[in-house]
Amino acid sequence: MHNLLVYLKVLLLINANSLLYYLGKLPIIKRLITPNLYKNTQSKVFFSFFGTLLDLIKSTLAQTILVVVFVRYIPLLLHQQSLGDAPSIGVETSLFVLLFCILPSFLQSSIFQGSKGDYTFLNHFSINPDEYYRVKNGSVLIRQAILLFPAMLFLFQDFLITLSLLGVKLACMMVGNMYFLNQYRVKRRVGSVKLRFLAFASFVVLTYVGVYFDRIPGIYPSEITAIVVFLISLVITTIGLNYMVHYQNFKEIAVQYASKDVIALRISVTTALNEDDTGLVTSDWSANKEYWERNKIKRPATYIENTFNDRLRRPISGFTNQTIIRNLILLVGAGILIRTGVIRLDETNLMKYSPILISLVMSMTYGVSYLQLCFRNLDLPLLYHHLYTRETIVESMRKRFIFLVRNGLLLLSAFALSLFLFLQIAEIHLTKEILLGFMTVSVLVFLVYELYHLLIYYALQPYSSELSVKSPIFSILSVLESLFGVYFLFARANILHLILPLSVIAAGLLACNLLLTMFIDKTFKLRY
Amino acid sequence: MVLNIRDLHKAYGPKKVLNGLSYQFEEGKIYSIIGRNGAGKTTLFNCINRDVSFEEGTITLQDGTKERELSFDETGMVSATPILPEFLTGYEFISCFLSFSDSSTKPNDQTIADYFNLFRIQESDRFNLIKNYSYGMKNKLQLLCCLIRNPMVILLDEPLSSFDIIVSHDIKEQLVEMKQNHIILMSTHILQLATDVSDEIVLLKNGTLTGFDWKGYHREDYEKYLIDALNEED
Repeated sequence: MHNLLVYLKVLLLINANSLLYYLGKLPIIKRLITPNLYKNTQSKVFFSFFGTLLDLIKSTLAQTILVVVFVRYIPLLLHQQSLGDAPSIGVETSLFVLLFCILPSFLQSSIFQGSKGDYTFLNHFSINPDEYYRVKNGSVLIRQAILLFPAMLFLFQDFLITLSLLGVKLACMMVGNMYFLNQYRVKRRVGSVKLRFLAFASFVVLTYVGVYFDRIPGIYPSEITAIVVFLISLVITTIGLNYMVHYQNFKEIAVQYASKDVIALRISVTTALNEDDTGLVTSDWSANKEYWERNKIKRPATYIENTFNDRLRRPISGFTNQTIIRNLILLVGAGILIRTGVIRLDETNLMKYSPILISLVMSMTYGVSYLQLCFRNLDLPLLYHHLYTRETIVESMRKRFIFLVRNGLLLLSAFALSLFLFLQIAEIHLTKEILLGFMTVSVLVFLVYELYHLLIYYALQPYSSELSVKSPIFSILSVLESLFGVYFLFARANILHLILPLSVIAAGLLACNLLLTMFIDKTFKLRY
Repeated sequence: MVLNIRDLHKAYGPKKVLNGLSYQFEEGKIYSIIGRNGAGKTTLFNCINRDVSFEEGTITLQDGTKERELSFDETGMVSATPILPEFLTGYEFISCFLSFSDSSTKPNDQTIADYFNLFRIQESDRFNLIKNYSYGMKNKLQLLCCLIRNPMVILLDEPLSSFDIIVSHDIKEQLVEMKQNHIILMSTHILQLATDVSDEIVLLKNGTLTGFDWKGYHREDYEKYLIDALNEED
């Protein structure tokens, strides 16, 4: 009970301090945020309340959008394509149970999903892991219920059904937790998250294929059924809670899964043989000496950039290979679905859906991740030791642009091949002009985005020495960029009309980058 | 040469860290700056090194009667947390560092080897990735960088806390040797180190610096004096 109170108090304090810190960064308002507000108990209570409320509103909004998009919007698009009408409320209910209750519970358990909170409470506050995980589980259950409630009420327009589905959601979470905890108890580890994700993604795709073919049975519970389902769910949840109260291995789980700090700016890379957690390829010192002897003739700036690309080749080539394979699977899969008549797409309506190509090319750009990798490993120490001059910054910019273009050429060539395969499999015959137009748009989109990434990186240098994003403009631009990607997925237009505007934008961005080189030493600085 | 700091003000939001700080540091001396955690030692060094801007005040270098603003080329800082390109080997980094520091000449292998010998860094360590270095080794490399740049003002932020006793001894000797042509400012919490190598101990408290003549006291007495001075209410 004491730990529960500590946990809640710390959570409230974190929300209050986050809100105060955020307000302290805003122009004009920051003058009102004095140190007294941090130490005054009454103001702390006030900001705890609003901080928690804002956090809940923000998360509820995000959750509502997610549920509405996956349970209503995407099925609606698919159903309209195949049958020309909207799926029934019963199908939406089934989809909710499948996509938001059953599948996520077996994808990941909140117990094993490490978070900043785990690190804070288990290390900084030294809370007993047994009690911490029980409290965490309880708070996750309550939070999920609060976050999902508005979306479900909006979708199903029925309080009883909403209540019973919330019960199902909580029961599924508890069953998932029991499954993973039991697996850990027996094997001292849980199965590969990659495999689980693959299974999850496959089931999601299968579910939507089912929606397209109208093969998902609808659930239409009566009032009595809804109450019974709710009661059964409550019983299952109680069994789950009881299981957790008697579970003995939380200490080991804490050591294994919660000991990692979460850094805001983290480039995720795979871990393999002869490679550490940053993806750096390590060699014996004599091999490193040999490498030096072979390359020492190069200019220092060239040597450093080349060595960086060589020793971090695993994460770099990993991205390229994954993108090439993903595009191939997506386009070959789409080709098969068109060929078999699942998706009704041919020469007559293909152009209407062509903006999807832009989203696809956008997802192929490597600028953001690559420049983060450069910052963390190379630019941060060089900026810190003041080793960069205007000339060397411009040189690094030029080399990185060339690297991104070279990488882009490889990706776009593979993409062209996948596109060709797609058209062959789908038996869609396009004129040479259209094909050339598609590739021109792809090249231009790629160029625009990589030039844009380069420009904002060198103009804003958004990262601090603690590897966190310090520039609010950069954060806003990143969100807008993601929204653009989503927009093109659903936009309907002929993208060949974009060749001229894209060319103008690319030329403009190139000019901006060139202009930036004149005062780049003033903008490309370390943020403290 | 004299490093003059006059009326330095630095605040983070409403919190004043340096509050009209003024002091004179002379060439040929090592100064130990002692203050409690959060007193502003690193901030003072960051201001001198021009890593952070300050609201008011001047930091100048006086050569006889001539006085000019202290430039970045005239300062070198060794921070408590090493920030180094971990994908390079120590040898590669120092070689590139030498080239960047003096672009007119390409460093030869002997020059680089001499620097490593100075810090007793073995060949196998020289060609190991910095990623694999211990904390102490990373700090040695940082100090080496400072030595290579050979700036007039050297700022050492808790420099010897991670070195083993042999390297600590070597570096203490190195610092004493270097002080003839430099102004060395060192922040430390280790009183033994401060009294071993320093010519002057300076207390940083309430955002200002105050000199402390410790040489006339017995160890027990100055230790007590320092603790009392730092413990006093703001």
